[in-house]
Amino acid sequence: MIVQVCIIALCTLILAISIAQAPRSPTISQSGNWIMRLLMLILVYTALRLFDFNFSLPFPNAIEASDALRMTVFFIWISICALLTLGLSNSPLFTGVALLLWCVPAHVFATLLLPESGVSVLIGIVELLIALGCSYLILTESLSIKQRPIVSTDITFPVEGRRMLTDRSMVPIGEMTTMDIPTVPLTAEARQAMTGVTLPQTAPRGTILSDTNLTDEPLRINRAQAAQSRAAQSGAKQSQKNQSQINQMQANLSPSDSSQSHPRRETLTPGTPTQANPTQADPTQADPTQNNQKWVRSGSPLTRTNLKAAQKPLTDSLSSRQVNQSLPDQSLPNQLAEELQEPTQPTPNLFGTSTHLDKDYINSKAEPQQKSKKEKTGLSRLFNRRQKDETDLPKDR
Amino acid sequence: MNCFDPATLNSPNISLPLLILGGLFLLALITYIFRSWEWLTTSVAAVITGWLALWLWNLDLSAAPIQLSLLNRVIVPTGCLERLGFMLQVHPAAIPVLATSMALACIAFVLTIRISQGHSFVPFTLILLAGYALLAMLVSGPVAAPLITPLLLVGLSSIGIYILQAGRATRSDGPLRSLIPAVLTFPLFLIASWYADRLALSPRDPELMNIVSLLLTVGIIVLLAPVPLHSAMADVAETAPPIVTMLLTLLYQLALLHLIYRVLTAYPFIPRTIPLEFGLTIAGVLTAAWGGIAAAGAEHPGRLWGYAALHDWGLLIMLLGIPGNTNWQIVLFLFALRAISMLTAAIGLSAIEHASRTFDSEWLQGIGKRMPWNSAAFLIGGLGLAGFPLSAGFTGHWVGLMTVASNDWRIAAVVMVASAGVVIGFIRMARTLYGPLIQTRLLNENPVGALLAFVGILISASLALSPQLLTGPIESALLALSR
Repeated sequence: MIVQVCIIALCTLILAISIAQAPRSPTISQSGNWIMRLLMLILVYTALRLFDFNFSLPFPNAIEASDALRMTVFFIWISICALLTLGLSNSPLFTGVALLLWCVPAHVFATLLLPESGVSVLIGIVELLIALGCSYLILTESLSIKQRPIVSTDITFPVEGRRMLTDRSMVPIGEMTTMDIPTVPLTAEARQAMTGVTLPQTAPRGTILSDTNLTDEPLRINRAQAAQSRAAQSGAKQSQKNQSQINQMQANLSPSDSSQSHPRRETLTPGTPTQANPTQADPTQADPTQNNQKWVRSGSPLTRTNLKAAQKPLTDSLSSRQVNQSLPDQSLPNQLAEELQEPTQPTPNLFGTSTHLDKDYINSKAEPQQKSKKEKTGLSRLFNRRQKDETDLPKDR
Repeated sequence: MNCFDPATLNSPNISLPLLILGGLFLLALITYIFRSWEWLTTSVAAVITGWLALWLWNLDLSAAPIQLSLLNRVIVPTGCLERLGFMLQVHPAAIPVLATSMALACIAFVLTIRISQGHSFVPFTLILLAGYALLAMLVSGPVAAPLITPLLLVGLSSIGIYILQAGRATRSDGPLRSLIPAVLTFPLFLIASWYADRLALSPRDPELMNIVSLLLTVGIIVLLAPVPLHSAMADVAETAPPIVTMLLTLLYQLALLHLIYRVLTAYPFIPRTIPLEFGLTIAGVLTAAWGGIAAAGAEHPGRLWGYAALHDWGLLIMLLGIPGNTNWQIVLFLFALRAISMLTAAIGLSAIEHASRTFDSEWLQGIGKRMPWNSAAFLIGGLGLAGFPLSAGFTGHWVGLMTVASNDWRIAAVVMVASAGVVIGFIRMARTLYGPLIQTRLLNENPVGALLAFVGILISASLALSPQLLTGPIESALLALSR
């Protein structure tokens, strides 16, 4: 009996290791919610109590009749649970557990009815093989979940999978390693001129990195926050240090007048000739803007690897929030101001939460231990929001 | 058991089961080490399994031990191998099963030389082959040999998962569901063996006979995986590599037919106490009918192939349910034609899958214009599973339907309608394959691949025109089984 327990424990361990190795992703083969499963068990239990099956299993004579009866009921109960699990689920994990459950009574019977026959050993080997096979399928399931077709009549309640499959931006975490597409190159100078501050050094594990919210969104918000902070900070009392930083930011982003609304905002629609920036109509002189527009608008996905690679030069050069004192390209802050007016589209991630950042939310998420709300720079708010989003997500195991 | 005693010989001896199992396991180990050199491993495996198939088919067990001068060993054909209380021996009834299994594996390896079915295909298939050989050679043990077979089938199905999935990021439903019938049934067979032991002490006890018959009947029917336990076949055909699907399906079903034959031979009272025939007929009709209906609506080539195979399998289940010993000849005949049809379809389907990037619809459209021979092989093989005229399965289906109709013509009519559904599915697939070509970048088919497809079509056509070519091998196999 100890050997059987050890085998089942080993099988459970095998399955658990596979679960731990597989990235967490909502399986398309959910076997209902817990309420559904509980109701099914109650239904089966009631049926067992109401109906007398008058069913007996063979036991050796050495076992007393009362014990045999209890074991019979127990084994029938286990078998029904296994069948229910098989019927309700289609995932390798649940199927593997159900098959192992089904094997348990057979293993006991083989030990009792056919002692010292070698059959018990064979059943143990078979249980291990089942566990290994199902654990292998658990690993492959995590890779294939995005490619599964939706079966409307599937009894296994493919709600989560359906929601994920209908949105192309929802990418399972496990697939991120296979989407190592190079992003549009960013130079440290360009981003420094745009943001004036640093990005977090590394993206925490488990971050859902979709196309928009990694390549476009942070930069948009950075610049938006910078412009917003200029307007918000114009009449407020600020500390010397923060004031210096904001002044530097203003000098960087809007050297004309930070206390007023940005005159160039409505004149810098990319690709449109404007009054305030007539040079943009000239293709020969509009290269910086066009380049900027190119990488801002790019929808290339940014993976963790690429994110780190892109952040490294920034963190090296901007580790102490130093603002580039050199005169930046005038088109960049104007472009930034333009994008501030354009509402960014909310980008749902894998779990359906939006990563869209609005002003109110950003203002409400300022860091209290360093600055007052009004003293916040746009980037710090951005980071707070990003960290909040990341903590909302389940971490990659 | 009249087992040859190796100790009576002076020189070191090797029993034939040990040679077969040990050789296959050793070859599996070697091919696993060199699995990245797929061309080499498949070639070696094809040569060895092909040689084994021929040698076993012509093996005379009454002949003297075979001297291997190179290894300084003597092979004892009737030698035994005993482990865990189970005794293995090559007996006459096992030879056709062994030879057929080896031949199927050899063909699969030959086809895999051209189109890869996964790096692990060769070593895992060799292990599976050893397992199925073990099943065929199992003669006695603490549990009667046929009754321990489902438990071993569970282990073999578990190993088969790896090559069915083949590392593909596709659905895992097929490999997963292929486990279920064997797992569900092996406890029934074990409990039946306990009652069968009791029955040996009181052979006239009707209650014991009823219990044994009931358990074995339910177990056999579930193992056959009729509707609604059929989904593994279609799912596997949709997602798994075609040649692997063909090989594992046929190996499993061959072992199953052997198991049923042995069970019905060892416990002849089963048909008298339990309406086994009725159960098999109902299961067969449902399976054949659903296979036809589903095939008519299937658009995926692999799934269509799977449903066609399901339809054919339903007819075979029905034939198992018809009383009388003469039906085994028809069953074996139909199974041989089924193997030919599935093989022909697998040749074409593997090439199409390879070219169409796993059946991408854009690449599949009009692929027959660039791969005419492989597309034709797929269509002819699939139509053979429906018993379409001038295909390999036509004669088998015709004989089977005539046999079924002699008992109840309505069942034969249902099967005919279902066959029409399969034909409709393949006609629609032919329109897709030979329709307007979308992907003009598609290359023409490889000459070697076209040659293989041509050979498959030729074999199918030959058997369609001259089905008596199979009469000799089938009669030999049936004679060996009856010994």
